[in-house]
Amino acid sequence: MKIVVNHEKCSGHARCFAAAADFFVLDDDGYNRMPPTDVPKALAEAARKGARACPERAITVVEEEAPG
Amino acid sequence: MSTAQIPPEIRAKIPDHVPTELVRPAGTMMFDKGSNTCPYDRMSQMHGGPRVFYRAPSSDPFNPQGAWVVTRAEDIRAVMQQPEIFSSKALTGFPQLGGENFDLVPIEVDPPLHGKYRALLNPMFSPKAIGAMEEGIRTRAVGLIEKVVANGRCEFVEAFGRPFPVSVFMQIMGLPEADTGKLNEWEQGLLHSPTVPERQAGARGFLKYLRALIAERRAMPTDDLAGFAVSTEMEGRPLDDEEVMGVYYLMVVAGLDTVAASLGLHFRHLAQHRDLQRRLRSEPSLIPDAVEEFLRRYAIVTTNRTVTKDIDLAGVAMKRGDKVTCSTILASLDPAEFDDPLEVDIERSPNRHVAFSYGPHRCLGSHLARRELTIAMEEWLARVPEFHIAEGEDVPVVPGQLLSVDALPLEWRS
Repeated sequence: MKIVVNHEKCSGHARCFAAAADFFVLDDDGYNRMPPTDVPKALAEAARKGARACPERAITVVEEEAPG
Repeated sequence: MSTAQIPPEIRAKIPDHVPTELVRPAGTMMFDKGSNTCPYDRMSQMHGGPRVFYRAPSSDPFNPQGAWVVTRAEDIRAVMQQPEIFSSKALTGFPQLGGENFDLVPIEVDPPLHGKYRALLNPMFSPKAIGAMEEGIRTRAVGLIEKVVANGRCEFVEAFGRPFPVSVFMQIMGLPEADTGKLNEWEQGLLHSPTVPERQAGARGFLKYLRALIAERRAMPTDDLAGFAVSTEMEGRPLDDEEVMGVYYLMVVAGLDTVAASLGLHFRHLAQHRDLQRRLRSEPSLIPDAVEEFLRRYAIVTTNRTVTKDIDLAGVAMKRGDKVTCSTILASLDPAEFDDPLEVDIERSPNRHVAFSYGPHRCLGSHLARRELTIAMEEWLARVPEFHIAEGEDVPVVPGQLLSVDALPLEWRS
């Protein structure tokens, strides 16, 4: 599983961080500049919650199947 | 609502490309003070109507031009996420009220210049920076509460709702306590007076004060926002006086009344729902979620944009020069995005409301506003016994560019 952030859409609401501070990282100005990032299994629900929290719909969750 | 209610001289001012069946009378928004219905109830009914309608021009000096009113959150988002088509130039009219013409910075500036100003100011309002202000904000909240708690009653707007944000504004700007009375008076005039001359007096009072402040800070730079605005550099040059004025004045019009209006509405709800009060008192860790849900349920801001390029949106053809009204209330109460939108559910999840707007103009002060609202609720619930609205008193929501309550008489056992 991976999250992909559309940086153009991120307006710095910081709701992703408010929902899931364990996973999301904001820059000093409070914007999400994360590159496409793998989500550890233990943080999967937190990542989904943070993605859903974005008012701009800037975060996509890519649920990948493991190969093989 | 029918087009038959629109007089011919007004109808003549409506552009030809506006479909007649979508025209509504000028009072069809929250500006109509004659109605008894709560503006929130009236707005939520609009989601059952057309996706977009055209509000006719009016004789109201604060709202003379007609405008498209987009009602669905999806369309409001589309407008706010496309600043290259929907411009923010002169959207508030506040500088013009004082006889001036500068842009409020950065709210009335379009990209790409917008981003440059915004990048300068973001650090001072980031979640981190606001975190550092926490203690000062809390101290101010407690000071105001302690003045009234023993009385067993207060008029909340006057005792706390208005002075608390003014006090925090002074903390950020680095202004002396002695100036509080003056600032409160101009705030009252500019943002609350029903007459144009009184508003102009308030505007001019602020403008004169802020111009003196610029001169003072240029002579002796300080660490606060007022000092930062005169000493910072954009593209290798300091901001000129017009730009600094634009920043200061935005802080005034954006930071005072908005938080005060929210406080009045949030505490009105708490006073009317003592079961929720009890729950938050026993579980204060729920307060931040409660604040988010109140921000959604009681969104307050209506803003505008001007179309710079013909575009089809929300199923209509909008033309260059058209004005578009975006209501954060309509977006935050859209049943397509929020189940039972008029219900306050502090466990609502997701709660991606739009009280702070969408897109690049997302409220710069949003993190500060959240802190102020959260701290206010934490300290009131920790220090003041269960409160209710004084017996027999009615507290209606007042329509306007910003929704608010005029007064909130609270009582509790002392």
